[in-house]
Amino acid sequence: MNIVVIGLGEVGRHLLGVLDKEGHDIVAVDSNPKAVQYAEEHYDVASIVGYGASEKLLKVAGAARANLVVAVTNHDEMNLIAALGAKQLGAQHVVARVQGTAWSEWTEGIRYGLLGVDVVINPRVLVAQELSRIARSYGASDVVDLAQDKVELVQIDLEESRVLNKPLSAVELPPHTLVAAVVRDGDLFVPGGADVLVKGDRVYLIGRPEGVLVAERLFSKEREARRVTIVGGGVVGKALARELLQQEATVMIIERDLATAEEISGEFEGVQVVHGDGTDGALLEEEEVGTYDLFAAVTRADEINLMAALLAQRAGCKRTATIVQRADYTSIYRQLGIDIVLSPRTVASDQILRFSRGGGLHSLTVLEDGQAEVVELTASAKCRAVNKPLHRMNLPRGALLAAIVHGDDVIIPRGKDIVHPGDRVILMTTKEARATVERLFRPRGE
Amino acid sequence: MSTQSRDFRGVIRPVGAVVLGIGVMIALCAGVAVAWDRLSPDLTRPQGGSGALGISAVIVCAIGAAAFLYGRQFVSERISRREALLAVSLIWISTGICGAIPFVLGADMSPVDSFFESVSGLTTTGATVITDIETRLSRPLLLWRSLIQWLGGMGIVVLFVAVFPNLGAGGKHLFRGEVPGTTAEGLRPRIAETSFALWKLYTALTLLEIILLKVLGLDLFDAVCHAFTTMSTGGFSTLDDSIGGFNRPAVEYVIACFMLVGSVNYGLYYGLIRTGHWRGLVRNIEFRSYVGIVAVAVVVMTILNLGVHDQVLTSFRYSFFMVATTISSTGYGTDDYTAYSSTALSIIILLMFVGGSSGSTAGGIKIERAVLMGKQAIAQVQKSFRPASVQLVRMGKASISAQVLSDVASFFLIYMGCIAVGVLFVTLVDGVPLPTAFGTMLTCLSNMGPAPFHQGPDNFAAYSAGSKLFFVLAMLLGRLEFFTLFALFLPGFWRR
Repeated sequence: MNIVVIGLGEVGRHLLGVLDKEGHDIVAVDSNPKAVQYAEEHYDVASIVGYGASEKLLKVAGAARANLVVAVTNHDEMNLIAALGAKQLGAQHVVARVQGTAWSEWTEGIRYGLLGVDVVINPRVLVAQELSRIARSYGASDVVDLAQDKVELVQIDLEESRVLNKPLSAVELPPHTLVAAVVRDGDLFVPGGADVLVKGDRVYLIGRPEGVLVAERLFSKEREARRVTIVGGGVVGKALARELLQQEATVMIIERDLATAEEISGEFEGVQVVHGDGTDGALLEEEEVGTYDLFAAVTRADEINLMAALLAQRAGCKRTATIVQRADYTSIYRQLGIDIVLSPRTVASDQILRFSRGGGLHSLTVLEDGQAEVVELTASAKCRAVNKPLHRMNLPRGALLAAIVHGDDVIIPRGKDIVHPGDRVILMTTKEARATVERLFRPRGE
Repeated sequence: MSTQSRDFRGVIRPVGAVVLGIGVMIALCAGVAVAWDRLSPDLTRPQGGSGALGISAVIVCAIGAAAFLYGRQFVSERISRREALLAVSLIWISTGICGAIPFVLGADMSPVDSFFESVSGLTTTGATVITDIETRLSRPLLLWRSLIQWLGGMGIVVLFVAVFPNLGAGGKHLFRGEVPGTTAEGLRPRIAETSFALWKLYTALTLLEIILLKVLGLDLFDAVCHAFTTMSTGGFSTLDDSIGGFNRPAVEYVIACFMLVGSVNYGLYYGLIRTGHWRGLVRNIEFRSYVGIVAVAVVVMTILNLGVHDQVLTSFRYSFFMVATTISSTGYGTDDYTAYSSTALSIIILLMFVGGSSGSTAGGIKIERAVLMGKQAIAQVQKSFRPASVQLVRMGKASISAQVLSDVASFFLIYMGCIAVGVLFVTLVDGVPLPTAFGTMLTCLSNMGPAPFHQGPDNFAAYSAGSKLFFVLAMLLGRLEFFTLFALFLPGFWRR
């Protein structure tokens, strides 16, 4: 696939790394020669120094022949113009990232066809939505909605609970749910009935949302977050507050800038707005953040988020969440005891990467730094996997058919279940098994 | 600063893989040669030699396989810049050694002579230590001698990168180690595809030349060998008298044209094929300069050589070939240039300095660098009376960064420095006159072949073993354009 990546910041680089490994023909563009040089050194891509939204540059970069053009510079307007320009030159798919809210009220993280750009992503809003789903869950550290909210994937870090130290087959999971993957000491595997969960494992549960909610209680002692503290009243903070208010939660926002604090107070009725520094331990004590169920630090500065979350822990808050711009810091944050670490960059690249695969992919979620992924796709009548029972489908080791969405019905399949043409399927595969799974679900002759 | 040395064992596997590949090439060459001798024997040449190739193939394959298997445990995730430089250097040196084995076994040559011949082939220099090619080398060995030149022409590492596409950015570092150039713009986004495209073009042009030479009535064996050494701008011939031995004007013109074709940037051909437009080729500054230099040189040489060859057409025939063989750094001969006037000889020396275009198989400083240095010099002179003027050096539409300009300047400095050191070394060790030493160093560094100001027959047989090894180093330095090999001489390269 011919791909043009405009903007080589965190997201751009991350995309280059993944796309390079997948073997695409990539042209990387940035106006900063240093960033371009970095890309030249580290990835097998062609590169151009220049202003990404210029017509001439887009022509030189081959946007006309590109299957995918991604605009992820730090300037929203430049991204939109670059994407539009590429579209006009004839690019097949164009994706732009925007981060601000200046000209559009973002209630959705993704908008299709906005201003003529195929996909416009606001990763900050996406992250806020993910945080609100996590707040609603019982102790999950990540929640992903799949198949238009008909299926839910949750990540839970196991502490003391009833499911430990016995074979998985002896754990009575609620109907329509299953344990899709287990991460132990950083390695992900697909568990069988004989596998035993131990303390410290991280499990991925998948199933119908109502079933998953019941299962969460089995795996974790935490409860739904009814009271939430948010540090930072930026794009993420506001979007998160909006989502939480819809869930009828109690929300307190701590914001350092008085004007912003006043603006939020005017915008959201029923939100407690505190003007102050989220990294001020005394303030956190005074506002009794320890009595809240969840503490979410979502400013734009990583170090403030980290410090605020650590201070909140000391103030007695049991669940802490932060967003992190540098996705590679995630594991360090976890080591420091932060329960929930989300990265807008990862969220954005998940959304963009699915276009690089082609072939009816609806969503792609990368798990554990790319060790595995969950894909959602429509099974074509022409692919090998349809019209035969699961046990004859020859799924490779490390792959799991997690759900079949047939019309409005969600089936967590067993050996005899069949994928019909047109069904939406949700698959989890390790990176080793991916090629084989793709072959099974790719229409024959493509 | 810590003086711990780095772990470079990650390069064992790629080097082993290339050596193994060379072993397979020797085996293939032996197979073809056996079939050839059986189907259409040529009794005018020495017989045998394929046995020696076979034994060499076994030895080289064994060494390569052993290194490859042993190196598996040290595989690094991605080949770093340092590893790439070391790997490229080791690949060239070890390929030179492996390529020499058939000569030791089959032609009764000393190891140093064989090594010189092999590296001279690989680096497309085409200088030889063999005084009696026609009576010493059998056809299998001649085929091998031409084949290593052909492999070295487009580059062994480029071939390696094309064959192993999953090297990623490491492949790019390897590629740059062998094909430095000032503008290393890829033809395709992925380096493996670029390498593959280059080799396809190279092979296609070679096939075309084989067909043309065959049509013109050359024996198929001679056609293949000469096509191999023309496209690589190498210059090994199967005849003692080089191309002049055929004494056929048509063959000379075809070979001259292919030498000129081989010393144009291959990226331009690729662009021509992909877009179908001549514009990219015709508007390219380096190509224009190249055509201009060739045209002027041919006209001037034709006039100057009227003193040697009486008729204009004869003078043109020899002058055209001489210009083509020199600027492309091939080194075939049709004419005795010792009879030329000093002016004509000076032109030849200047052409040897300049060499072909960047991104081609030719050697020398490269036209692009020469043009850049000229423009930079003019800009600096202008600054002497208008210090406030801002004048960027431009190449076509692109302005050239100061980084690239200083790269070019240091390249030139290193080039001249190498000639100076070389002249000192050769005059000291072998006691030859200064012009002779200068000629040999220039010919080795620019990968040309024949050495001007030579005393006696134009080959390197008479030099001492020490000088021969020194020439080997010079040829490798010239082919890899200095930086790759010289990096290994800096202590900082090995330190952590």
